Amino acid sequence: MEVFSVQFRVNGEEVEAEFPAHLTLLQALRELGYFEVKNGCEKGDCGSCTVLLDGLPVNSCLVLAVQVQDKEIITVRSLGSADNLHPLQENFIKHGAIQCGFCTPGMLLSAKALLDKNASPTREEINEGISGNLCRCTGYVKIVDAIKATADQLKTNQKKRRH
Amino acid sequence: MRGFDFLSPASLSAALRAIDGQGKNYKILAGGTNLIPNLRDGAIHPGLVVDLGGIKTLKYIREKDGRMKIGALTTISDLMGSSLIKKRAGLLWDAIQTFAGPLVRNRATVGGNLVDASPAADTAVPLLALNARVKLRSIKGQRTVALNNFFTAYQKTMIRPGEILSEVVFPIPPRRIKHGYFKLGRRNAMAISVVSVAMLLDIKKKICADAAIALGSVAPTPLRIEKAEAVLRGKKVDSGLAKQCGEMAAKNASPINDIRASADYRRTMCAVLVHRMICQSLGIEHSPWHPVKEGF
Amino acid sequence: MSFDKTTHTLVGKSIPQPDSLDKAVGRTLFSDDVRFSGMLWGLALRSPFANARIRRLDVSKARRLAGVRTVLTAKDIPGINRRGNMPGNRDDQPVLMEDRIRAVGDPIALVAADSIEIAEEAISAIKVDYEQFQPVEDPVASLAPDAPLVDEEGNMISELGYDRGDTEKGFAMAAVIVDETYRTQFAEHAYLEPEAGVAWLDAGGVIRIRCGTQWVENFRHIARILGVSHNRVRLESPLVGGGFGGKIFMTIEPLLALLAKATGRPVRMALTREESILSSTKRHPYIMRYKLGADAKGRLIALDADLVADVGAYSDASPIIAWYSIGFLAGPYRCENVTVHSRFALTNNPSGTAMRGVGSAQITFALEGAMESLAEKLGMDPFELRRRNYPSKGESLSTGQPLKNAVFLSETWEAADKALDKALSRNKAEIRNLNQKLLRARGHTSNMTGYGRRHGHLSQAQVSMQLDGSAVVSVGVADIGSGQRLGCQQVAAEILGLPMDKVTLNTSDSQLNPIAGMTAGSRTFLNAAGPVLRAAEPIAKALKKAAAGLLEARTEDIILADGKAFVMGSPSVTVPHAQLVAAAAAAGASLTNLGTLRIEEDLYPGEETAHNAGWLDYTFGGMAAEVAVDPQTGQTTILGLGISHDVGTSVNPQIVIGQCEGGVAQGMGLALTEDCCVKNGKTEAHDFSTYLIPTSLDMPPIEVSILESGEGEGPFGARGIGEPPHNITPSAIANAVSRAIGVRVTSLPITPEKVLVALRTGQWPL
Ligand code: FES
Ligand code: FES
Repeated sequence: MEVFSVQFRVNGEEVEAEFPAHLTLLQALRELGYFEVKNGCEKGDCGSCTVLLDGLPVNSCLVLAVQVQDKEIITVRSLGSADNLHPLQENFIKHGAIQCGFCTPGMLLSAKALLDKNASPTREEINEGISGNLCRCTGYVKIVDAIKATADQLKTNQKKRRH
Repeated sequence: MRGFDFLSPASLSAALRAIDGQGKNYKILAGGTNLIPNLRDGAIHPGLVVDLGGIKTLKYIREKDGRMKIGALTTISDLMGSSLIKKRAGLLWDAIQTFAGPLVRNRATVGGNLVDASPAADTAVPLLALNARVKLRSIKGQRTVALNNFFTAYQKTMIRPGEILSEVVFPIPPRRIKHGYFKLGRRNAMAISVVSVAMLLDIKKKICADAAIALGSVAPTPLRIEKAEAVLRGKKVDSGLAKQCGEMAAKNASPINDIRASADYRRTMCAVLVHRMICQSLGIEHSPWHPVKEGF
Repeated sequence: MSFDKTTHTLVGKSIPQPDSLDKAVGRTLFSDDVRFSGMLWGLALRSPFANARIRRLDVSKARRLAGVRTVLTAKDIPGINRRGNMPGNRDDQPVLMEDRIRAVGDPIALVAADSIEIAEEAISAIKVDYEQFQPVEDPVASLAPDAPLVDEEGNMISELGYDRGDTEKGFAMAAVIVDETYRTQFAEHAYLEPEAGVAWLDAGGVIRIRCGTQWVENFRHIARILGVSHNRVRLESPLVGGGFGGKIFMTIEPLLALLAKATGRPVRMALTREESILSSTKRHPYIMRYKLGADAKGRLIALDADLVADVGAYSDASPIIAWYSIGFLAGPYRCENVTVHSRFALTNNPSGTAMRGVGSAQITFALEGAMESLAEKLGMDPFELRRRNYPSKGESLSTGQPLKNAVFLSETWEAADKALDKALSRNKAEIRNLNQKLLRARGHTSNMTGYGRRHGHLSQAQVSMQLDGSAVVSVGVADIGSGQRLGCQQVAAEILGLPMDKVTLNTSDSQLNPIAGMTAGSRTFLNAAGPVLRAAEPIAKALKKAAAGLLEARTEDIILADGKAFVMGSPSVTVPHAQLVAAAAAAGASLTNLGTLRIEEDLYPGEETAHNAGWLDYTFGGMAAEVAVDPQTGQTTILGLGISHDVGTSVNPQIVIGQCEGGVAQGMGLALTEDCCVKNGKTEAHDFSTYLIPTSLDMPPIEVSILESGEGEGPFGARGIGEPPHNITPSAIANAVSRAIGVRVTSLPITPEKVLVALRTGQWPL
């Protein structure tokens, strides 16, 4: 099978690897050990495989690995680390937005992309922003709580900084 | 998913050269939101996949001479972020709000959505009402085809081997024109439409000067209801006329039974929704048309 | 059991789950997230047909392919080719099909190969010659005397029932009678994590399987299939990406184990979503005929319930689920004349199994619908009707079982109604814009769910103090995301007086942990945290005794909290746990202790001593829903939901509320959109674009009202809450829709089409 050499960045690190054309970005990332990118359907129906591709949240199962030459990919791993959590991660934990946690990496990235675009979303806008990410455990309530709390927190921090 | 060859040309002409003479052995990759799952499922086995992603010149939204031109590689998110679309093509803008989900919208393209030719395609229905035309480029030249002719059968279009859909263009409707879009689905996000309706109504001095009504998911292709449009033209629109249009829509539809709904239900919804939306977009108090009493 | 919260420091606190941190940073290794060098890919060849015979199976070409390490068929199974799954079932399910195929997705052959591509090639190189038969699709037809046999032993897996009083006489005396038939659909668990896992050979010839499961005790079934003794199989579950009952019984564990044993190499399998939905077990569809009779005052004087369940192709957990349903059929009501009867019939459909609210969600929908009809016929307020029939504490259920703990049925009904008001007040904008022509109504319902089934369960856990005063809890329970590990941790920390981070959990390994049974049936806090409590208590006592010596006080005056001991009333003088441990050890106390919880096996409802029947206890709840139905499109919009349960003690309110919200969302799916659409035995809705679980945009405001009677059988007086919110939701929504359209909803899901037909004909379609 013919393979293609692809260079891209994942979480700020240069990656150079060879992939057959049919490999999806989801499969490629998992092969490279980025297991935080989850496989829930491979059809674009669930959002478990969400990554940020040049800043935009996408289903990595709907992208071929050979398509990401020179692109920048962000997974949940670089959102924050255990001793330096992103406020979204902190609030997801605090508000009980994580049950089985299988949807969490994707959900966090959709939330991040939403807040990057809209710093103070309403609950409706949050529901819209995460509507491509299925969660079977939480009923989404605590997820929305956590995102809302993060937005509020970031706003107060900003105000504080301005003063 | 079997192996295939992959090309990512930097220009449209390079892409056209790559597919020239390939017959049906290739697939064009635009947003990939349908193509990639189909490749994975083994539903299709092309020898070559040509990715248009690197062709920046196919990504644009422009207004020119009263016409809106959208490059085929424009994503649904690009459209949603465009104030031009929001202000000058409200019908399309309304329709894409319910397109799949936010993640898919970041990849799915207008061109891809049209070429897939699903009767449920969320951009096809409003674009059909907007009298859109698509530009098909090949190594030999280009032709422009009315969207209404473009869809030939279920998931079939007029595109010939060697052709790439490069642009969608439609006349910008004058501001006075009322528009309405409604997608009936089984849930509020990530839904495939059960029936969708897009319409434009041009009312001058209470008389309907022009009308366009398009339906999705009720026939093998997205469908214009020209008979109903003709009925509206030159008339004062009231609830009775709107109802008549709804019935015509139902008659013109040839829906199927599938996992989302029965053909009967879809047909009834054509009548209900067309009637309702004409009234709603014109602010007509419509008699509560009741499928129950009307013999659904 | 009654409990006073004021004396505890951690009970009642919303402590986050211990695993959320790893989950939030993407560090958790789920079933498909580990790799070994030299690992092979496993794939199964599955039947596309529901009813067939294998005329010829030829794997020779597949075996010859380069890179294929093994191809296994039924003949290659070293032990017994039966899944087993649930003790007491018919043991009718082969691991690999011998000749007869009974369901779509039945595995016929297994392949392990160097890569997925080679494995796929090998699968397509296997030739199967099928003789096809018409599948048996209808459970009622399956019970007809001349029906084709799905299983040689007959199609009836279970027939149960009981009679109390004189039902005929009851109906003869009744002022009004309701007689209605209700139906429910095949439902998919739709855990977001598809089945996956790895298996390998460990030192000493132990076969190890790492695979998400709700029940590590499945290792025994695997040993039987492999033909090895129990000590040679070790099953461990990583954190599970959702289970909801679908991962209690084995999924791919035996397939993995067979491949690892045959090749001697690590093998990985991971199902695609389609394969997962097509081959996995489902919630049983029920057909329930309810006949209810009441006197003029609204006293329920006769109840006759007849249930036919579609078992699907294999008996799996059906016999036990049949017992569950028998216990629930008469509901949370007092009635002296009761006849209940159930038949569980094999078909060639997907196999029914446990799903959240096992054997009960369907029943709540039917019974509460029939109760609404009864109230209507009596011209009585539905709440008033129910109030006249709710049993009180000390009274008995219709099964004859006396209720020894609080029965907050009226209380939860009223609290749910208030909660709904609150939910609606958060939805003002949508309600203001609502089209006036929509049909709006509110619906209510009551529910009871048992927890702590009297199966004769033995659950154990071990607690060990470390020399620095921290502790390790070991318990063989799997965590499926709803706080199973947290519950054990919180209980241990509370009893030992330690901060949460000083208690480490070691769980879900069949060889390393004492066995605590399955994570299922709202039982886990009782059955896993219960033994933890029993293991921790003697240790706490030894620590207190040591503290009493050091602080020169009486043992009963010692308080353990936050890693220190002090004398009640003088918290400033403290001794740290490390010192207590040293002192206790010096005094010869054991710092590792095994806790045991045994629920004695008891007779089931309808048996002579029915007063001991069923479950240790029940969780009671109420729910209210407000809907708007579009009479033209048939679409139902839920405007708000209010739910209330008496959870005994809310040990961790955030977890309790999370269970309610998540359960309600699943219940909404069951009510409105979820349907496997099984045709010819095949699940047509086999992906997430056709099997429609709710998205974030489908969620109405939900208000949860938690009541605490303080009376429950779990640690600190807690009652089970995993299932009840899910059980109750479809019935609340159905009752609201019925009100709105003036026709009783008698089948799920409530599709727009059915609503339109009902409006037209005045009859809910089948
Ligand atoms: S795995 Fe990509 S959307 Fe489900
Ligand atoms: S937490 Fe389990 S799917 Fe979201």
